[in-house]
Amino acid sequence: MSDPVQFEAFLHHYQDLVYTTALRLVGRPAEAEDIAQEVFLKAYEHFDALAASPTAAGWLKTVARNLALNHLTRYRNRWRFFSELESEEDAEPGRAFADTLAAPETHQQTLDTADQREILEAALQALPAAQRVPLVLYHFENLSYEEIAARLKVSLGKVKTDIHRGREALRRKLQLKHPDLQSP
Amino acid sequence: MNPTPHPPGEDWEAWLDRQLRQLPDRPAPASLAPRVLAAVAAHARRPWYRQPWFAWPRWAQVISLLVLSGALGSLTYALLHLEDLAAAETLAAQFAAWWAPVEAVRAAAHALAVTLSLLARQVSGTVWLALGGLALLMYAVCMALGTVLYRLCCPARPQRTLHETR
Repeated sequence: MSDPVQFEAFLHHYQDLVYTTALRLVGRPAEAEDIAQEVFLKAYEHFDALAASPTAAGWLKTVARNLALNHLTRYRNRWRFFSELESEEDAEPGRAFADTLAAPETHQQTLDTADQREILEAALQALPAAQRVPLVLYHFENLSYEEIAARLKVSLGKVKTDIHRGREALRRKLQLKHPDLQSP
Repeated sequence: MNPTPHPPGEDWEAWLDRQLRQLPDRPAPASLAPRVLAAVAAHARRPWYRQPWFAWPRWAQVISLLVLSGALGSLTYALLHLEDLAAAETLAAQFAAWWAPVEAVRAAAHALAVTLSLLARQVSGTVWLALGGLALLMYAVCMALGTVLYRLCCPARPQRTLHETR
């Protein structure tokens, strides 16, 4: 059976990776923690094979991604997630989101590096799930548009639209923080 | 390393892609590790029969397989011979009806054993070696064909580039 001490070291080594993968997809820390726990329980069941495997990180990331997507799919009705019925002219969701995150006027324009990371990460987390999830799958999980459409069971056009809207929303948010950011 | 204003002349999507990929992992909450370890401990304390079948002790796996096979065999046998058993009038006739298929299997196994022993006596070692070689060759051909079919049906995915699907 698995060595508990070795598993604990394994857990500490990979917990940030697994948690981050889940958090970027589900967007809620409590749910990301639940998913991360589930991932590590699965890892424990396969620990004899995973312990020394050079692909352990990839395995964990894939399991975390699948569990997070299953979680989102399970609650898609509640969140109106990836609804194909959502109209195209849904009043610029990115703009609304950027407005809600607008920095206080007193905030200094030149931010230190940690703040800059926080801005981008917070902007990503603040995106609506329908934009954030395909964006994360594309930029962090290296899936192509076609793979994302197949995995989310939505049309290719919707994936492209959602990713484009997500990027535009991120651009607006970053422009608020960095006025010198190039316009398209 | 860090998100910086989009430099003039650089493609926005490429810049964003680079910035996102460079974002560091978020630190997991301090409660995650204790939660996982507690769940693992509870998981390990479960009795064997509440664990997945593959984690059962070997003896339990063997016994469960035998019981399952016996149950399925009995059910199949009963369904096939229910009429014969019902038609037999005496106990001896019922036993004969019940034993008949077993007797047939025994006779077939005996015939097979006799045939094999005859073959072993009559056929030379060279022929056995040739037959073994032929079996190995067939196995290798199957493996090769399977590999070719797998490569044809499941080609390796090319590395995705940022703009390939646009």
